[in-house]
Amino acid sequence: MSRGDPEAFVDSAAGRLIRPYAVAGGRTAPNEDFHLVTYVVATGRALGDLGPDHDDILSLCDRPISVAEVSALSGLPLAVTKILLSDLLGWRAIDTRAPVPVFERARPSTDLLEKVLDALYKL
Amino acid sequence: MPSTSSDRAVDNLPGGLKLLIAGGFGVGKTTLVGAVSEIAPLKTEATITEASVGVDDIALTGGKTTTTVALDFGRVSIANEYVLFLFGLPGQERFWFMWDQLCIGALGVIVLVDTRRIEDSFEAVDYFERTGIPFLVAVNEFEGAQFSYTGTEVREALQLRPDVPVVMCDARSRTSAVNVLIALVKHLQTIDYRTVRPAAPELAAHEGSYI
Repeated sequence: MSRGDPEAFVDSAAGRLIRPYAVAGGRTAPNEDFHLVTYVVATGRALGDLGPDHDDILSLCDRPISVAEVSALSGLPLAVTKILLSDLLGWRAIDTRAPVPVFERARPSTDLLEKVLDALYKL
Repeated sequence: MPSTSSDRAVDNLPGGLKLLIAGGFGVGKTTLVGAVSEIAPLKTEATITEASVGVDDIALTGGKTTTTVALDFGRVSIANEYVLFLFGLPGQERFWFMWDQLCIGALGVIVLVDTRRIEDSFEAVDYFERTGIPFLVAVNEFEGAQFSYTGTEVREALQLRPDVPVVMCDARSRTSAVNVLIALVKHLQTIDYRTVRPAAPELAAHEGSYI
């Protein structure tokens, strides 16, 4: 099958046909505010009608939750989840906490690694 | 009305940390995640546009085919202050370009090895040596594995640098899986980051368009 053949893309190797970016209004730009392990939480700010996808995501943010979990629990792809979260952040409907920074050519803080070890020993 | 600093939910948000688990298809990455995670492993999807080369305006190609790559992950809370996330990296060769994005901000990597298919791990080891992300090799000792190797033999087979730890594990066992994580964190405490991490991700780098 040639690459120009439309049928070439509809097989098990190519995966299913989905249109996730329809949900995100056609936006595809990467978003710098959100990483997989960025934490988000709803601010409680009252907003008008957001539409079902924003509503679903905002309700997941009732408690502190990571971006990865928002994506997993909403069933939306990560890139789409980040775009919708970006909207919510713009509307001040959520607050965020960036991941713990990991610096180039630098050991993570001694205190941090000790805390991680302590927690692992207790598992 | 602005809320006071003490009652804002944002002040109680934990700091996210990330570890990655790499290895060939079926080597037990998700099993390892499940063994240590405080939640049942979750699955999220990254999307890859397969026909996007040279196509900028997505509105004109609404039916563009995308492939989804599943990422399994779990988490461990660290003293109400941090949450450590464990992500299984997609093992298939065709998804390696995603690793650059997934590695951003990762503390370190566990390369899980099945000694029956040790060659599946060559390129993962090569990748992490090149990028300078700290990693260790964990040999998943499958029950009934036809070939059993010692850590030394695995080290030789993978041509590991002397400073890369090799640990044996049973990914199904919580104790064993936790010990792999402990070994990795201890490794992080001792390695020389000036030399081991020459091309580590920058702090402010964003993850990119796939994840």
